[in-house]
Amino acid sequence: MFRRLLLGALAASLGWTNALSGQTQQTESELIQQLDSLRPLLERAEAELQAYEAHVREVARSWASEVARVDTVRVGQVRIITPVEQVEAARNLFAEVWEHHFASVDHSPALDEVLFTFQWSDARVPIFTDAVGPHGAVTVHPVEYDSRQSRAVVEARIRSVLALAVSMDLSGLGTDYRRWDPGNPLDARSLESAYRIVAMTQSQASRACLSGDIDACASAMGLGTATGVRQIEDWYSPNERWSLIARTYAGARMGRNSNTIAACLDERSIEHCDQILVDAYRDLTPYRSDVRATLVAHALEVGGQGSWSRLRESADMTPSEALEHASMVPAEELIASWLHRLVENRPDTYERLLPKSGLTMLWALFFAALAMRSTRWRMG
Amino acid sequence: MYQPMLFLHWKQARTFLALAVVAAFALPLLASEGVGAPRGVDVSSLDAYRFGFEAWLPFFPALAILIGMTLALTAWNWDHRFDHVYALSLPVTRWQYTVQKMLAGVTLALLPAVGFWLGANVAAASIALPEGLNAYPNELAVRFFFAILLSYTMLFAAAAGTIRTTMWVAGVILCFVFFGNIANDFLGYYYDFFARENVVLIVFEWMFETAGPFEVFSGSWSLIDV
Repeated sequence: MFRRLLLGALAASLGWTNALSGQTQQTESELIQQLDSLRPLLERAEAELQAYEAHVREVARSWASEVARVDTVRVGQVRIITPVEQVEAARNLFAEVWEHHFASVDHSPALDEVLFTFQWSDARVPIFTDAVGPHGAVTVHPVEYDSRQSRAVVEARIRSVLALAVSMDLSGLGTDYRRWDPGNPLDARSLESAYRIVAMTQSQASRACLSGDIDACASAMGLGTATGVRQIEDWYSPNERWSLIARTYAGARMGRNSNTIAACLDERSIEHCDQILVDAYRDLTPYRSDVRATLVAHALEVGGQGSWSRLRESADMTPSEALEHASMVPAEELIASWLHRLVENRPDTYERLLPKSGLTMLWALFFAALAMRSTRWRMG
Repeated sequence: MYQPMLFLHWKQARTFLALAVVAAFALPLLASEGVGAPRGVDVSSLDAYRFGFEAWLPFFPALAILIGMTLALTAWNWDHRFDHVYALSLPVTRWQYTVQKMLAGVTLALLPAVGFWLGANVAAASIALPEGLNAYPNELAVRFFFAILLSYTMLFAAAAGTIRTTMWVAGVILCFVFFGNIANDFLGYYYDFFARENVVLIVFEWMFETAGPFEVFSGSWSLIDV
């Protein structure tokens, strides 16, 4: 019905538009009068739509109540709707994830606006909710898991969904912080993984950072005080700057910068390379959001209880100030402790070489035993 | 008893072993040729250290398998050729004879492993590594030795038995690989477990990744990493 009304309105408006094009003499007041005549039609369409949506909700509610028996579980501020037989699993999993990864979140206003559903994806049931939060209808974040998935995989999924919901708390932070873009610190990658990224980053600042230079770490994070060419010189050596340009403009040297690019690449003029990099409309910071997120996560961990609220409150602060405010330690000290933990978590490529070698030894003994068992020393 | 076994095995395999030692020494050197920063460019990216090396990666386990197989076959070659007369004339039991023979082979396997260890150390010393990256020549050499050991003992066991036993084992494995998937699909119609899982794949994953014998071949073979 609604669709028919809307089509009618559209056809009518098109008809009027054609008519208008032919009547150049038509006055503005006549036009307004004609458009106003459409209003009752539009109001009827809106009312039809609302009635239709209410009907769909009602049908969904009655269908869900017939098909699925669900319950609501609370883990701290988190509300989860789940089939009754999965209540225990939902409570345990969410509680464990919350305890391990969200300890710094004392209160999250964003969580009042969301609900989570939790159920097996291979035996899905309809879950309906018309719950409201302080600002109207809540957002529903579904967590569906395959019953064959390991607990670690399910927990990672829960963490990711929770982090997404809670991170809405930071949407009010200042432009500086948002432009710095630390990703989602509540779902930051592991320090082992961050170490690999840091070690692989092609930047003199990153190498200096790994050898213990805290200022270089701050600079590589984009928290340094230098700007413009000075900042790029801090981050990259002349050869690295040349490499950056060479990689970017390997195939094409067209456009208004073509002479500058040629001077940089062919004559290896670092001044020209720097000019291109300064003019480039892209973030050249060596450590991107995935590494920065680990620093913010570390700040939250150092700050302990209440650190999330403090970070949320730091709306007008620079990223450094926000980190200091959240962790309650000076930025240098925070970066030093982050670096210490990062180096501590260096992934060991051959970590399992010893136990695996022992296992190989056992297999070798097994084959040796087989060799003794089978024999050609037989007659006939 | 061990010394004559070692001497016999050495006589059988010395030409191959000499080549194997040279190959094992040279392989890490060849693989690390041109790895790292090109002249005049400060490239510290791990990719720059992996790119050249990774092309050579399949040759590391392949060389280990080749050495292990050849040592295993040369261990029994002499016995098979002369119908085990020498072994049967000795005043030792079958298992004692097998153990001595196997230990002799393991001792010989140390030669290419040591060659590899020297080569890997020379290769690692020739690359200037930036902060954050490390060389693992010793760990790589340990992996290489265990890869030789495993392929040697497997083939040694196969060669020690009768041809019929070996054919049986090989036949069962081939049947499992070729008909396992068909059987799995068929059982999937009747049992939920088989509909969800592929047993052949599970067995292969176990053999190569979890606790099976072939993990030594599929694990990390990096000379340079973080």
